[in-house]
Amino acid sequence: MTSTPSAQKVLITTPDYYPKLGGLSRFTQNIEHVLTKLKIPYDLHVWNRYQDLIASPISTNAYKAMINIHFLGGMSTQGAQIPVLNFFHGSEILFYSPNFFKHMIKKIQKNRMLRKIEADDLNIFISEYTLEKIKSLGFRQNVASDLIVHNGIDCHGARFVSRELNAGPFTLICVARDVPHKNLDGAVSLAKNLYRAIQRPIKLMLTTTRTWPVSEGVELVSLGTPSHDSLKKFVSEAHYNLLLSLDHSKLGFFEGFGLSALEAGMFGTPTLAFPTGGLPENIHHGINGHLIQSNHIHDVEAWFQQLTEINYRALRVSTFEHTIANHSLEIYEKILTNWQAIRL
Amino acid sequence: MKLAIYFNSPSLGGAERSMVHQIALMPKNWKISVFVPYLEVVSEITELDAFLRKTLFATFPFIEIIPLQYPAALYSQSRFGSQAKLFEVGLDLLHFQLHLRHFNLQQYDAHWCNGNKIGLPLFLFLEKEKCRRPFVWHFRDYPESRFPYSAIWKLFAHTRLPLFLVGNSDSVCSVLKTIKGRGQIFRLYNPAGESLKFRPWDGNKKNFKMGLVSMLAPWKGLHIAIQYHQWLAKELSTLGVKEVCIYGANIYRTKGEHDNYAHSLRDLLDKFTHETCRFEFITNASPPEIFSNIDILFHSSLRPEPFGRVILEAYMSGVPVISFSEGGAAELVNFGGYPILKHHPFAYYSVIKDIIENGDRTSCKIEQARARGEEINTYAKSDMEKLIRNF
Repeated sequence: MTSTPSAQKVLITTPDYYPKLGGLSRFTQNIEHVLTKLKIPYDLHVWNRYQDLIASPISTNAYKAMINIHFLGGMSTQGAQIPVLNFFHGSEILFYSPNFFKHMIKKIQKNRMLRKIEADDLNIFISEYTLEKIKSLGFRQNVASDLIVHNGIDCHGARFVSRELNAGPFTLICVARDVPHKNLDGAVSLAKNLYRAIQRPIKLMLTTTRTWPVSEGVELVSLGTPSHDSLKKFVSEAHYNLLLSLDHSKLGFFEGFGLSALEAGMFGTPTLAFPTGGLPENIHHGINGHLIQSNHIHDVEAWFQQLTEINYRALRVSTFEHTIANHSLEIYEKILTNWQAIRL
Repeated sequence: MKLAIYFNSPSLGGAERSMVHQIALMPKNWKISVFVPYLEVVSEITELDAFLRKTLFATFPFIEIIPLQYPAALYSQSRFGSQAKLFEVGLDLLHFQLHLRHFNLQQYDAHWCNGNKIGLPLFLFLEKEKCRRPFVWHFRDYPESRFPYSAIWKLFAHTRLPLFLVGNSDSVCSVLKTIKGRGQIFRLYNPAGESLKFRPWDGNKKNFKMGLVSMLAPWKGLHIAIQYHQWLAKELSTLGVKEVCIYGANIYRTKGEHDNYAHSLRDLLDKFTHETCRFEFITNASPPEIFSNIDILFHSSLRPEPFGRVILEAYMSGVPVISFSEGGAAELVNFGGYPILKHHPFAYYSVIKDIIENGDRTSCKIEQARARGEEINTYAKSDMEKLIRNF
């Protein structure tokens, strides 16, 4: 078997890869999937720490282009100057670290990094919010290089799941890491306020091992880290997916887009979200979910009262159709097929 | 009534066309002085001057055009003042105030400013002169909330001028309510004005031209439209959409985000392939020429649009309109247009497919759009009558 010379290959760099779980790991696999489908040969370089990249810069010799799943992957390279495509997912653009020294290093390096990103061939931001955030830090946008492309996901296995609004307990799910800005406590408060408002049993599933005190009318289920297949089942059977992320930009975290809304949308499950970060660009009121200003009882009650059996059924259908039509991996196929740097 | 109307720019753009067509709705026996700013030489206003004469001089016996020199450095400031050298701007403002004294503006019964660049110095001048005649500040865009404008709007709470704040749409007027101070707010829809010929939809055509019509500025989203046509070139070509005509220029010559935008658009064309799609940039064409040449209009404004004059012109021409439909544009697009979400290229493709493959539906939509256009024209007249009654 003849191996492909590197000169015809694309180099992908990523900090996260299977078996490590997480959004970037899945995103990397999605890009691999797209390149494979397009018959674009590639090599994959997985890096662990930025310090390791500094110590051993990545060689770009004989690659025709580079795709950085995380922009830091392109910050320390040696060899040929090749076209570079960077993906920007959210908080990583804040140049923040909870560690004081790392934070200082990022601040010192910020301008150099921004100039490097500006010089790269393509920068794909998953939301207008993320792009505006990096611009507020001094990034100079060039419309020829800096694109806004909302997330696409692998829709293989997507299927519409019907659910009656008034059947069983009103079921919510919150699929998020248990970190402050993901606001799992806010989801619990919402569930409790919802019970107070509608006096109907509520079930809230959360992907955490943490537990909460028992609350009247509200069943809180800590799912831990369920398997991929189990999670799909839970999400498909929920009435709503919750994305109540808080904007903790000053602490280095915000929601760039909200991937869990798409993963729920693959089954028709709409999302209820706070209007923070990139979420308003993802959740289209009445199309694939609703935006809610707070989890206070009056906002929760106002949201729920607009739902009827008929419009909820229609919402599930439009959520599914919107997700499949607009958020598959096909968008990356279109971009990479037409990108001059790697065209076959 | 002796009315002074102050244009905001020497160039003939959408705001200027709209103002000219709004003047056409005013009583014909009024004495109207139209002040048109120029920066360096009077010849800058040639095109606007010609348009004013062609449109108004036959029906207004008492109309005159007065060129008004405007400080170039002040004119070039962007709306955010991000490029402002405050000292220089302050000096220019002072110099212009002195210049205005030569025009005996106290002779006028009312003053109408067609935008912020002229609005601010006139407002300050007339306040200083203790003028008590109606002052119309016509907002051609949403009032900017950032400094320095946030400071300027505070003056409205203290003015003794009878102040009329005019917005192009209900959407703009709802924002004007937050800054009005002692002013009164009026909506004034833009009339279509031009002699536009309605073309029935021809679904039997093999090829369709997409049109983008706007000034060349990033918030107009022309780069988004180009991206869509590059990424989906094959699919759109199958539908017969192989040509994109981009009508526009950087007409206002202010410094800011739109520096180098035209250059960036051309770079973008080189970044992605577009073998099956042809892009043409055209700088000089009248609305009737534009809308007789294109088959579909893509209104790609990324920010809320105060109104969207091109949408109305397309409606009156029988051209279907696809739009992100934010702000005042929704007051048009929701009646006969095709609204789509921003950053959803496949939704864009689906709508074009629907327009081309469902000819009967498209014909109904453009009739609905034309009816809305005629309704807007009717509102434009009644809005003007209502405003004038309050002078």
